[in-house]
Amino acid sequence: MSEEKVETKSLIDKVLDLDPKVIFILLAIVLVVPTVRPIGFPIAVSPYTMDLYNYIENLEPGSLVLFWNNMGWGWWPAEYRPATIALTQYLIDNDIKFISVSGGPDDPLIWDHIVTNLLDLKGYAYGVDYLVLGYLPGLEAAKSSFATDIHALVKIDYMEGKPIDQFPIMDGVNDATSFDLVIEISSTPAEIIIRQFYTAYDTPVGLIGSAGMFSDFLPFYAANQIVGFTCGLRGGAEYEYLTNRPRWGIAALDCLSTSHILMVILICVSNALYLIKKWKVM
Amino acid sequence: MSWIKSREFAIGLASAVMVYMFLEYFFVLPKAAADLTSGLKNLAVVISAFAFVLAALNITLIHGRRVTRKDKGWIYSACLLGMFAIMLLIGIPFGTAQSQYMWIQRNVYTPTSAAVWGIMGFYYVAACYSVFRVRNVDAFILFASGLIVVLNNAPAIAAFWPQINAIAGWIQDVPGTSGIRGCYITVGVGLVALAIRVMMLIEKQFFVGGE
Repeated sequence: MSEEKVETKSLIDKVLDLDPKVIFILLAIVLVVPTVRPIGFPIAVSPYTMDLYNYIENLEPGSLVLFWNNMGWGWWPAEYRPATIALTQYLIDNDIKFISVSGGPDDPLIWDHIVTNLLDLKGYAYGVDYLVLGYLPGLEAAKSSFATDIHALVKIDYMEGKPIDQFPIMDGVNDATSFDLVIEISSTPAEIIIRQFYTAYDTPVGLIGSAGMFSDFLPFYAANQIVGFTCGLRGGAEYEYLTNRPRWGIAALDCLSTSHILMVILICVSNALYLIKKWKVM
Repeated sequence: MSWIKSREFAIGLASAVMVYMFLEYFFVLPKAAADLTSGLKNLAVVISAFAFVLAALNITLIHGRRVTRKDKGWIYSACLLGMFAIMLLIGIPFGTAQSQYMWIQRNVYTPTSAAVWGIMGFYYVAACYSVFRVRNVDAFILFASGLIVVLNNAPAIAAFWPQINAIAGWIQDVPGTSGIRGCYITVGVGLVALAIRVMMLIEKQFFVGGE
């Protein structure tokens, strides 16, 4: 009897001290299986993504949107690509012009890749309907300077290296008030773009962030300082769903569900065993 | 002219610029003052760009020294310097939009850096399994709220069980947002206090190298 007790206890201890490699294998399985054979779980759109979508839908054709990027290649494929491509494509579909400027050294290259390979430009002309500006170091100083006087800070574009004054899209575009919406694609603190564009110039701000930025964005959303936001893969998938252009986000969404469900199961199992062990000791 | 080299001059200059930028943000200044502001901000951007030159020199010196001394892990430093040289040799003469440079960015740098971030996800789950345990009442509150938020973040669960949106939404919007907002306001007030100390020449830690 006592031998049995010892064995049960040791089994609980064994499971509680499970080798992380077992968890890694389980996680790999629940990520690979839905990738190979998609399950097609339904999607619930969050109000934050919905608000950003609605705001852009209400913009007039010919409006001008500024993208301020700080993505980085490492975070780009999963965290930013779905939302960025879905949103930018939606701008093109609705005849909304856009200018991209980068706060990270990788980002001009990413935008080169986006406009060259990933978007259906539908006859959008470079310099007329969209423009890619280069990298501006200096974090808040760069944002502040750009918002105050674009032409004093930026002299040439990134893609063609020509003076920005030569591009028709820059006609009358001088400062933050020239934009109908500023979208920051970044995991840097949101208060900087809000402080320099919304607070100082009343220019509406939307955010595309990584999944970890959710809590950072919420206070600004609750205070109506941003029009809406998307976070990570899920936000991107929601935007793809809303714009009816399923791509990487929706394709990877099953993995997000299965991995989260596995995590919940593991946490519940470990806690149940932990409580059983504690109860037995008592 | 020795006063130019003095610490008091540096602190005074920094404080004057800080006061000026502070006023510029909150008040509409005349055109000449606005031009000065724009110039100062652009100067900050240019100085930030110089930091890359310093970083490049620093990396070369630190890792070059490690390779020449054959210190522990010198092979990684050699790889770093090799890749650094390749990127510079392709990027500087031919430009970063050139196809070879873009090929390395997309096919070497992107998958490797994405893989590093992806690996972190595996460690998160393993850490949650071994650490996320209900040891007391505080831990139970964290456990319950965390579990609901994680379940809500699984799109399939939120779609099959819509009520969880309301529960997770309340957790995120009420205690979550008020907690984060409290942190922001505390940090903001702290920064104002620090700025005032710098402007009044009380805070000199920035200029003494932290010793």
